[in-house]
Amino acid sequence: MTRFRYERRDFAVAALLALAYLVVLVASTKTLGYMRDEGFYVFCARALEAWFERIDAQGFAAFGRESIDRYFDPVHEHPALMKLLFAASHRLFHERFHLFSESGDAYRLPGMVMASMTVAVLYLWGTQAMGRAAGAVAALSFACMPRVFFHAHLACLDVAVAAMWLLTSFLYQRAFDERRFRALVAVGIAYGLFLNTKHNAWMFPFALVLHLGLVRAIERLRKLPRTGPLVPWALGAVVVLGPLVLFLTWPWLWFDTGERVLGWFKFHLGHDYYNMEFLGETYWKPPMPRLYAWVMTLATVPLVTLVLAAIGVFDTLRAFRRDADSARVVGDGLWLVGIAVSYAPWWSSDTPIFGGTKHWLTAYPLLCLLAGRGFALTAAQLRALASARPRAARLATGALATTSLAGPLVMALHAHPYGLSFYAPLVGGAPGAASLGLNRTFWGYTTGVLAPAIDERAPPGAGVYVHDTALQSWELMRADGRLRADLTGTLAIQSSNLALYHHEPHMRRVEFETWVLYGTVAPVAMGVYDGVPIAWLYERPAQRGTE
Amino acid sequence: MADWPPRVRRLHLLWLLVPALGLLELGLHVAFSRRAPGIEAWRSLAGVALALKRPGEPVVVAPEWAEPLARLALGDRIFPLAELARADDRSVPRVLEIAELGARAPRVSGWPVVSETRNGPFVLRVLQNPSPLHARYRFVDHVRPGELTVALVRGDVEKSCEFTDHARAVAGGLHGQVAAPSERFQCPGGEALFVGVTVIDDQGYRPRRCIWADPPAQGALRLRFTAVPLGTRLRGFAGRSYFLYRDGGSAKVALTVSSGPTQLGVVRHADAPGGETGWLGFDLATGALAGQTADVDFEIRADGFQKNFCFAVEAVD
Repeated sequence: MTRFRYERRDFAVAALLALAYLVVLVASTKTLGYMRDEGFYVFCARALEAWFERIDAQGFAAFGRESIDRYFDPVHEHPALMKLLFAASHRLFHERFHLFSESGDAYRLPGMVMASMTVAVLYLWGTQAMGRAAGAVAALSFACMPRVFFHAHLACLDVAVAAMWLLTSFLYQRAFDERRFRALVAVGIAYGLFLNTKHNAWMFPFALVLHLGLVRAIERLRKLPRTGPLVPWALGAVVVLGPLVLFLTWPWLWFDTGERVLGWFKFHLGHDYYNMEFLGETYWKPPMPRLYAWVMTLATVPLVTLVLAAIGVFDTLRAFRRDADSARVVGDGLWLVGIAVSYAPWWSSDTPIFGGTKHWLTAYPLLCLLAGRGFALTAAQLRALASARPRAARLATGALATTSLAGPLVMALHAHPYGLSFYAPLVGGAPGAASLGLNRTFWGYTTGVLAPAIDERAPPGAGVYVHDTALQSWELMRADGRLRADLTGTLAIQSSNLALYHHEPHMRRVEFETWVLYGTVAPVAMGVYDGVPIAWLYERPAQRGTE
Repeated sequence: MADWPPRVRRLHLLWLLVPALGLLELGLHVAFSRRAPGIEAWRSLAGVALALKRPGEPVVVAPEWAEPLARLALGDRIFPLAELARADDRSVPRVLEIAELGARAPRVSGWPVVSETRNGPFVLRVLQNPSPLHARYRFVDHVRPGELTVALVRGDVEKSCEFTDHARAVAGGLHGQVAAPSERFQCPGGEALFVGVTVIDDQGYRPRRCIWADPPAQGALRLRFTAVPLGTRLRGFAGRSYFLYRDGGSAKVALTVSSGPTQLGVVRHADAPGGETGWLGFDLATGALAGQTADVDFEIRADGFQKNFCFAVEAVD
């Protein structure tokens, strides 16, 4: 397999793209309220910050069982890597160097860096596979996916695990026929950190086995020479080194290892079902709708990206049968298999759907690489069409890139800070999706858009019923000055002066309780996205009378 | 693709569809994002909506998802709780439909249009119920002293539940009990044992205003409404919070309705195999009592825990 050699400018462009994305993310994070999960992860990160302090104070003793159990226990159902990074970022960039005035921004930085790294890797891999223009289109298509842009801001694990899937795949394809120790170790470490990011990583070795089967089948079908050893050393590195790195970097597993690993598996394989609205129905127990992942992808990913990806799939499958070289078979094969495996759990009607599109976010970078492939083919065809007019032919690639990215860019920026309420024009945008009965919001983060109204209306020392916002997320907003410091978040409507409501059909009973206790059905403020009510605020009428 | 078959190559102009699609999608995004009216547009509707709104004629919003915006902009005068959380539409003479985006409210889309007014992006239609039932008396509107007495009955022993208008109003949040209002008939035996008007969620997670009448573990809860003008039937609905009990609560509740010595019927509410059935209707003939004014008793008994029973009944012609 011919090794692709990057030029220095390729790394420069990748770094520039990543940096630009990071700047946009950091600049736009303040208007985005904190999700439920962010509240929980910040809670975990704070425990780990206390662990850092203990390391400072006690040195090696902080690595003993009592210490590890104490500081790594919170939300131990998810591994440690991102939580450690959240904690380190907060400690360094908020507390020590004061780079971020709000602690929430510092907690979010590692997630944003992961998203930016994804953009860089996409550019590099796309450039290697299809040329610079297609690489850039792949990278920017990902950056401009509205739901990705939303998740890219968060102190959560979903974009991070997508980044790690992509990075590990990228290193794996480069090491596919390698025996060099450095390349193999890099893949093994990457997979170990991938495992330490989120449990999606469990599926990765299966994807690699499928991929190997696909590569060998194509080689046999087309009578091509075998690429590398029958079973790549890189696969061995993934299987052997990966778990070892996980063990070393997730201290929770240092004690009662077998039991804790089993507990980790059990938790996710038997995860609770939460509610999710889909096509007018609220699903909270199996059977879940098998069409969910596919319909939601169509409904939330810009159609132009999907069409380019479909063209890319067509082109790749065609090339597999005819003229793809071994590098393309290995590389594109990883994209196809990665997408298939990322979506595979939703073929089962037992798989929960409560997290919406974030569950299969690992597929999106690979989908964007295929969109890059589709872009390259379409650009070539457009250039051929305009070949009689050289100037038009020269402009074709730029024009196609512009028309492929302008829509997603506008949509991503417009969706902010209502990312989970975004729906593509294919379903009529947010109003069309609301009419179809697709989920409008979850995670309680839209308290962020109502914060000014809360501050304005709440009497001194008021209690605010937070509804779906986690109290930890509320406290983070308050600590960061996004809400008045004298306000108290509460889960008791009766002791509140203001009551939030984040709309999901199954939660409406909370709104009804507010009607009865407050004696009004009229909200006083509302977060509205494209004319669709997302979250709203009630105020006790007696309080209004005293204004 | 020089190696593609000629008939495929002839279609090469189709490649232009890709950039065209990008532009079309961008245009549609801009159009869709500006299409639905926002808060200010809804606020500007207040005058015309108030002019068209009549008491007892509920407002329905189409599409239904826009209703919270309407409530924010138009307020409680347009959306009284009793109308917003009504049991159903059968005894509603007319509704005022406020529609945007060309939508219609499915439940009333077949009703004849009495008047239609366009106002900016909205269409306001007064719709006539083609076969309205005349409600003589809605029991849920008479849960107050002087019209209702409440008692716990166990054998021959009756314990009166006294009315208060300043009980501690509480609610349980998403997974807790429905709201307990401050105006209620409080029974001896604990704060949770009372009769009052609340709102529960039905099987479509829609609001239903009803009389909360949670029976005791032993004995019965008796509600006696005095001087009820009876029609030919008592139409009612009964249920429990669907969200709370949709996975099952193993409750069996019996609602016995009588007037004096005449038993009008027994309504039994029990779980379906999958869990709570939701807001279900019933119909009881008043027989010889039709057209008379009489006291009506509702006696509620249950076996099993988690009864949390709520009902709404109206006397109709």
